[in-house]
Amino acid sequence: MSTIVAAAVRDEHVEVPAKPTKTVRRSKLLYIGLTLLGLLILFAAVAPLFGSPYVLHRDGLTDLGSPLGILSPGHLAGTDSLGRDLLARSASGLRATLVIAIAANVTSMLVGTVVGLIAGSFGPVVQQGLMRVVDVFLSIPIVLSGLALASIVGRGMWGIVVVVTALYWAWTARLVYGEVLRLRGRGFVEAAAVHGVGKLTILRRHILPHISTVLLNIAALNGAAVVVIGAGLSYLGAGIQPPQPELGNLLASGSTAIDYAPHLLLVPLVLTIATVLSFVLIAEGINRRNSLSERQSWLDI
Amino acid sequence: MNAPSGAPSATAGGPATAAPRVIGSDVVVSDLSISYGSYCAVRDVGFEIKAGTTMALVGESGSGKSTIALAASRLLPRGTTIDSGSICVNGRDVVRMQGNELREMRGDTVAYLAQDALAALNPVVRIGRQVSEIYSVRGGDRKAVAEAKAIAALAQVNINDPERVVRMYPHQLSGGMRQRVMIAMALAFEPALLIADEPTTALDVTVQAEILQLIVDLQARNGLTCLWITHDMSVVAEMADSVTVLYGGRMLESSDVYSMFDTPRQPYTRKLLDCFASGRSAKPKEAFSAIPGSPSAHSTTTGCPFASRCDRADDVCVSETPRSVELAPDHWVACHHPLDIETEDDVKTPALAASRGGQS
Amino acid sequence: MARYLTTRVLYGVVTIALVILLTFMIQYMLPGDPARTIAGPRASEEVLAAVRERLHLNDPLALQLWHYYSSVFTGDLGESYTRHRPVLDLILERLPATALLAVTALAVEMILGASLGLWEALRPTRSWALAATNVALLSIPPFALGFLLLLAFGYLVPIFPVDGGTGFSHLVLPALTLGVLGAPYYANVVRDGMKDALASSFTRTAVAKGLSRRYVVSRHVVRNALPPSITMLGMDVAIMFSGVVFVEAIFGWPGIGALQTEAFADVDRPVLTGTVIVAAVLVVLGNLAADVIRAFIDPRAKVGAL
Repeated sequence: MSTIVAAAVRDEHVEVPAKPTKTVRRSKLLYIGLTLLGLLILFAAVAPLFGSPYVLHRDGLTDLGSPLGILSPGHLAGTDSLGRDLLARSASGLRATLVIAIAANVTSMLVGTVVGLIAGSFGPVVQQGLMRVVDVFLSIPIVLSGLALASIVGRGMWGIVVVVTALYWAWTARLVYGEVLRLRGRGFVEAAAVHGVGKLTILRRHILPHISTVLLNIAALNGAAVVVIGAGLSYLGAGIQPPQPELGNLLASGSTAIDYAPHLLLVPLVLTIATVLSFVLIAEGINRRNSLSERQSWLDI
Repeated sequence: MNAPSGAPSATAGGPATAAPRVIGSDVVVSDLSISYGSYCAVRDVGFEIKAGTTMALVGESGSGKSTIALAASRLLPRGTTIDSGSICVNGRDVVRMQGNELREMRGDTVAYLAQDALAALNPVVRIGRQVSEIYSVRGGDRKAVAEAKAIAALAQVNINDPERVVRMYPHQLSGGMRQRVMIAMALAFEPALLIADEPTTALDVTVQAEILQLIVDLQARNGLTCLWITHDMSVVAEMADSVTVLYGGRMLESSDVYSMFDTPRQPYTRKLLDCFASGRSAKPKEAFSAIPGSPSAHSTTTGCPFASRCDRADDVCVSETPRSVELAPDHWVACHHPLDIETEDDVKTPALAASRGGQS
Repeated sequence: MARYLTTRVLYGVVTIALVILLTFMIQYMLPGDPARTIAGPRASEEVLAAVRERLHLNDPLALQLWHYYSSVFTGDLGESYTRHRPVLDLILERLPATALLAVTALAVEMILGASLGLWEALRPTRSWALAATNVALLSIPPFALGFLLLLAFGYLVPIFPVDGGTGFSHLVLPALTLGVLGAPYYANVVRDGMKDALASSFTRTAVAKGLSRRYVVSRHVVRNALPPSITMLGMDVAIMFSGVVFVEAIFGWPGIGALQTEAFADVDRPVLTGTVIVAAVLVVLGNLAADVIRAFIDPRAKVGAL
């Protein structure tokens, strides 16, 4: 409704407005996602409270090393076949996963944003050149090359961060590039350029404020993807190595014990899904909050 | 062109049993009120268009003219309510139609001509198909027949080489040609009422003149009744047989075009004409900005909507809504203090007669 | 049209050339002994010397690059250190299996995704059930879904075989996993494209002509919603290549993904790099194909208006 009024005051041809949407309901998703993520971070942070993930509690295990089930004395989630407390391992594993995810997300977005900004701000030569490079990294399947790269760069936590960053920055770069182009087409950037405002100033004053919402969106979606990729690579053995716990390698070892100890798989699985879910919810929440008035279908009039 | 109105209809149902349609019919709008949620865009508007004539609906943004156009075409989005009133075309109330009856009336009773022809045409479908589908899908014609009719329709709107144009896509045509295509599509079923929603605003001046001339010719040929939405007084001077002035959702003045230009009775109309006459070479939009003040953000529920900007306004104008009064035959004015034709200076629009020269 | 296509082909060629350059740089130019990088940590001194000789590692860098390019273009991607066979042969052997899996998975993804996307776009009111399904599917990691399906339909309800193989019954679960995982992304693209088209001016024109709802949707709206989903299919090639790594490992489907996992375990570097090159080439070709199809559908591309 305010759009008609605003347009009227500006003396423009009034576009008949769409039905105003209820924005309040949408951002519920955002808060749920943030809360979930917060809880998970909390859980990971207090991991030391659950004891060490490396100590072998062998009381109660049979000679064959069968693991203890859920709610056995002293072990809320049971233990694995070596007697290590599952809750401790899962919490530490979550912590490792989150650290990797956040680190990889931040670095890949940094690189990607810088490249995207540069590509969008300069002439066609720089533009095309950088975009070809971006294309290269977009054409390389991530997990496939993640394995190849990991064999060269090495395993372990930072290996994974490097691998994921190196391969994933291109997605951010392309999205930022697209956004910069879109903003440039809006006229106020061209106007500033014509007036002789320096490129850096244009970037700072006109473009950066507007891409912040896009960046948030990218951050959330990237977060989800990076968790999956990081855990996936660990699952395949390319990341953090046992005995150090990480959700991916916990899933790998848990899957072997699936017939007699499903909790070994299910506990880390639930945590992984919850983590990804929280990022997805945050992304959805941001998305919906930003679509102010949903254009409605002309079929429904 | 004074075709008599058709027999009173009232029979709903398929085209076979509809009232015998006369090309160009009387249009009666009465007590129309439309709102978007709590914002009232149109209040108690009423006017009549005689068969075969063109009525110009004039107003600034927010005056409600587009809303009325969309209401008559039944293209208002969901969430818009028609609080009261009716729009009767050839005796049938367009506003109350539903379902199949509604679908049948589209293009057949009322046709809508949009402002932006590029956006209004499907970019991935050829022009020929976009025109012929009206004949084949709605009219039941076979493909070949429909295509031939499409070519004929394009020729009728003065498109040269229509056989070539039907194979083209919208982005390959010029603005003027696209608008002609839209006109061809709108008139395909010879509607009783054509609603033109500022169709020439996006075109440059020479093309605008061509399109206006085209519509005038078509109207003369087919006896089309036309409701022309505009904020451009020069277009009104060119085209209109009668004019209704809207402001803030209400009707302020409605009469035939000569009376309106010679003896406007509403102060707002007077101001419009003054600005138009003095700034003849200026862009039409500036006519409005020359009037001090701006339309208030909310349409007033009581009182004259123009009161805050009118220099003749007093307390009555603010507290009481002026009712529409017929001050002269077919000249309706809603004003507590209408201009007195005896004492007011001549309105400076000497060009009106000249620009109309030869057309009636 | 011709101009548009030649541009895209040119970009594709440049991209592939750069991918090869990248693999070269990583193998040959990182600090450390490139021979060691290529031969792996377990190679002996003789093997290293042989590698240096064969790969011209003693020549200047530019010459090395030249040798690298020429060998790649002649199809020589090196030889697997564990299997002692040319890498390209190994890859080509496994490629058909992955291709079959990918195509089937794509079909599942398209059918499922398009149905969801169309349904959601054409509803006048939002459905939180659909949105919830969307979110749920987006949140499951590929390896997790694969495992759950294997557990459910391989062990608990033994419909499908749990050993490896290439028969039809072996294809179902992995294809389903990949397809279901990709479906929400495809559904989103379809839905957004449809919603955009449904809210456009030309849809209003179609309605104003009095055309039926079904006609408007099928003949006007869908055509406009199509191009973005074709682009999505192009991107899917890259996504599939990543997905198959997990799925083939879990279900024992003998394709490229399994090859890569095995090579990783063996630290078989030539295979690891060779697979990446081949995959990148296929991704570029896939995107090119998508561009071509899109150009055919969208007339604005033909005339170079895009």
